[in-house]
Amino acid sequence: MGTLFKYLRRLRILVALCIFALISVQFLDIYHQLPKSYYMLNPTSTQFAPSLLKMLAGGGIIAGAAFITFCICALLFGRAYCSFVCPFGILMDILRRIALFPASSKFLKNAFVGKFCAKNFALLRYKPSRTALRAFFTIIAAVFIIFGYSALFGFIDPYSLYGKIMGSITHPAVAMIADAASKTAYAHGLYSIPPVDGDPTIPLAAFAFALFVLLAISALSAFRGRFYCNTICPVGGLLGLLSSVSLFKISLDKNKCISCGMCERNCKAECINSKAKTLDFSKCVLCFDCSLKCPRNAIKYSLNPKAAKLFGMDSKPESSAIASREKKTSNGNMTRRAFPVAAAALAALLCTAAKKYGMGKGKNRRGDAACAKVEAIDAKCGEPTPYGIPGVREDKRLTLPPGAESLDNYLEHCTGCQICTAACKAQILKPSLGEWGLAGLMQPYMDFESGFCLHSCHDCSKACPTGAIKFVGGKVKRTIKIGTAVFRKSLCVVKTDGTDCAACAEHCPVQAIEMVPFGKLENSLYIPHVHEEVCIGCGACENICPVRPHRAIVVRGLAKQTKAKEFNESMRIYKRKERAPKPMAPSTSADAFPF
Amino acid sequence: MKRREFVVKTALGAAAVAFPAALSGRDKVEGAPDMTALKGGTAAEMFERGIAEMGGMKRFVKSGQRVVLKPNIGWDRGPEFGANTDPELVGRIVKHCFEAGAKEVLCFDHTCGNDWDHRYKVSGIEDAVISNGGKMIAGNTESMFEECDIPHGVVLKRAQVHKLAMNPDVFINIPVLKHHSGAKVTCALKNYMGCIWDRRWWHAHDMPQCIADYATFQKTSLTIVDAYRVMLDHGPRGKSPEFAPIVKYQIISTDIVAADAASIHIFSETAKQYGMGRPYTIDDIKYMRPAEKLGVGTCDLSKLSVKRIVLS
Repeated sequence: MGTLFKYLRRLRILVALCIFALISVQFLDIYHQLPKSYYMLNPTSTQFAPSLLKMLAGGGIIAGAAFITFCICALLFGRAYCSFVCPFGILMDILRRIALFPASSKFLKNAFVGKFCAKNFALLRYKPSRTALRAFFTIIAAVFIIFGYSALFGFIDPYSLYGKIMGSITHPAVAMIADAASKTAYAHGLYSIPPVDGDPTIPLAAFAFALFVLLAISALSAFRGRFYCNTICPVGGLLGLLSSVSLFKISLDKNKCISCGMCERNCKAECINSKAKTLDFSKCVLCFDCSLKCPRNAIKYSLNPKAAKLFGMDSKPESSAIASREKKTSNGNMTRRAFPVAAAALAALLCTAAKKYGMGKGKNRRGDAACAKVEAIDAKCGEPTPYGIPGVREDKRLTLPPGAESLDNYLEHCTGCQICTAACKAQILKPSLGEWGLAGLMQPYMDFESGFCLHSCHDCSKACPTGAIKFVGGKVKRTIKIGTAVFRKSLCVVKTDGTDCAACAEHCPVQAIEMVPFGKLENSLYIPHVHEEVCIGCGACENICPVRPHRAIVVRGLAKQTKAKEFNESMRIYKRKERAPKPMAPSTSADAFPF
Repeated sequence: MKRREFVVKTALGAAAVAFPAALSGRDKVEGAPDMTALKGGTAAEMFERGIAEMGGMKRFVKSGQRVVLKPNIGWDRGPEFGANTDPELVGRIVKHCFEAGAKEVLCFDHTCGNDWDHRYKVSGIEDAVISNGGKMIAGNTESMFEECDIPHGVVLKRAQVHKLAMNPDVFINIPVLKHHSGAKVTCALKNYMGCIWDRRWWHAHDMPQCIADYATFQKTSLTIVDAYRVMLDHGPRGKSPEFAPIVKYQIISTDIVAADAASIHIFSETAKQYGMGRPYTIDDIKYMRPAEKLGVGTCDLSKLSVKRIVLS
């Protein structure tokens, strides 16, 4: 049995490091060099909660493959997901290793750090399962998903928390370091390190929150190992429930075990009680570390005796002690029953509160309904999103990334894992701090202040693992209408200053802005005119418009994305005399030049 | 036909080889024109012939100098759209610079929007420059720009200028001639907008005058206008290649305003012939007269010695 554990442990470490590296590389891809094949086998598709959400978002059984696989896996072998695939769990293991390093290092062992680490981090002890808390978090997670509050779910879901750390700390930090290195090199005439495209900065509060998560999880994993996984994590809660009835279980051989406590000290899930010679398999994350230290080879991975009985294969149930949660909780039957109800009620309360107080910073702003032009645009292009940005024109509305399809789909499925903010080449997807309301905290929004959605880029739709942004091909993406540009003549420099500009028309990738004559013809001034049905809402015009404080052209995001029309000559407002093209006469003499 | 081709090719080859060799190390070239206008052949072929007529690259590039090229790489469009400068032409210029003894050839543009690396690639210019030994430098990071005084500016008194564009040994402006929704026609003078950081300020403060003002500041050794394809409509980004017919022109000039003036004539003539776009006059292009007034150059081509060459 010992060798089996040894190999399983090695396999676990190998798989975990591969998955961790493959997912992390996407957050570290600051130059956007990942090949197409990477996204075809996107490693984030192995993630439990995102795959469930993607399945719910209409991705079908294949999208939910990871969810289904790991549920079945838990029923057969236990919580393999938690140690093999979960990047947050793997991050915790790595952090724990770092925390334990001073205790074993030659140089630090006798220093204060080494002693401190050895005293506080090295020895873990069995802790009975906090069933109430686990159930509570699992139930509220279920309620969040069912009622479509994925952003709130994202604050307890392990993959999304990991993503928040990577997307809000690591990605901006790496990008800024690379940028600074490039600046220094450029200043010295070395041009080998290219600067990073776009503005990698994120709101300070988002960074602070991610830092808090990182510090908290570092402390927890140093002091208590996988405390989060067995207390807060809803995935751990669900898989723990399934694995408590799993076919195969790890257990202690009561005949062999001498209660030396070696396994208990090394169990980061704190699930082995060496005195009672029991192992709580609902907490076990299948790390296989325990048998490494067992002097008697007393830890075994065998058929669940209950299951064995079921199949008629009796194998002395008294010889192996399986963690029995019934024993521990039998005295609290009443609380057990009242508990789910209480948790569900609390979750519902949270949802209601988030909805009530989280309308978004610019929601229900008055003033734009009065504008007849905006009403006409809404009638033609569809309902705008109800979210604005304070300090910006009130007819400006937030847009959804192309592929999000509708406001409901986006807000209901995005857990705020920040992978799209890392993938965004223009660096315009930023974590929201109330832009989408309280219920949409950390869900990315498109910030046209720092750039615009690049016409040929569809990287966010390739990266999104939850189905909040559905995959769209490059060609389709170029026609998706995510918003409508709204032009206000009274603000435009052509009217206010009487000078040429046309920055918006110049940057429009789809010819949705036509320059039409303005004022006296001899002034030859031209002012923008927006063809609303052609506009895709990419924000290029808004980004480049030089007028301040309020821009003359802003994008009114659509609540339901549609397909934009292609510009054709018949749409022109300012028509010219059409002339049939004449084939050019091949000229060979010097009068070929018109000057 | 074959014989004629042979003769022309031999003559061309002889010119290309003999001129730079004969004129090496001389600044002012006797009999070399201020401007060479070419028609026919590919952009690179026209350049080969044109630069020989201008006195060879050695007239402009001395050995050991650092050459900065400023093509137009504003948009994520392939060469067939005519939205960016022809990559083959840029590559050939890089080659000539090195042949003339340049120490380094650097190429940059402040592209229109983020995504500069993608644009460098899609335009084909990155490939052309690097394969000829030059370097592509990013133009989209603010740290590369430095605040400068524009002493002769009327509206524009200060601007953040890309470090490469400030006091380069040799600066070669390689615009593409095309339609522009704002400026109507964009060419050499407007191509300077890729040297500065805050274009929004220009847009908000009398852009034509700003363009003219900046031209008083920017030192340019040579202007090479790529009019192999002329985008006649839907500029500056371009809608489809059909709006950019191949007309095979090129202007090589030491006078940037004259290069623009000649280009506007080409644009109007092409617009008339193809029935696309509009035949603008020099007065329609609002930055031309202010630039002439500020002494940047002349719109009157009769004041210059212009050589017109038709390649068969």
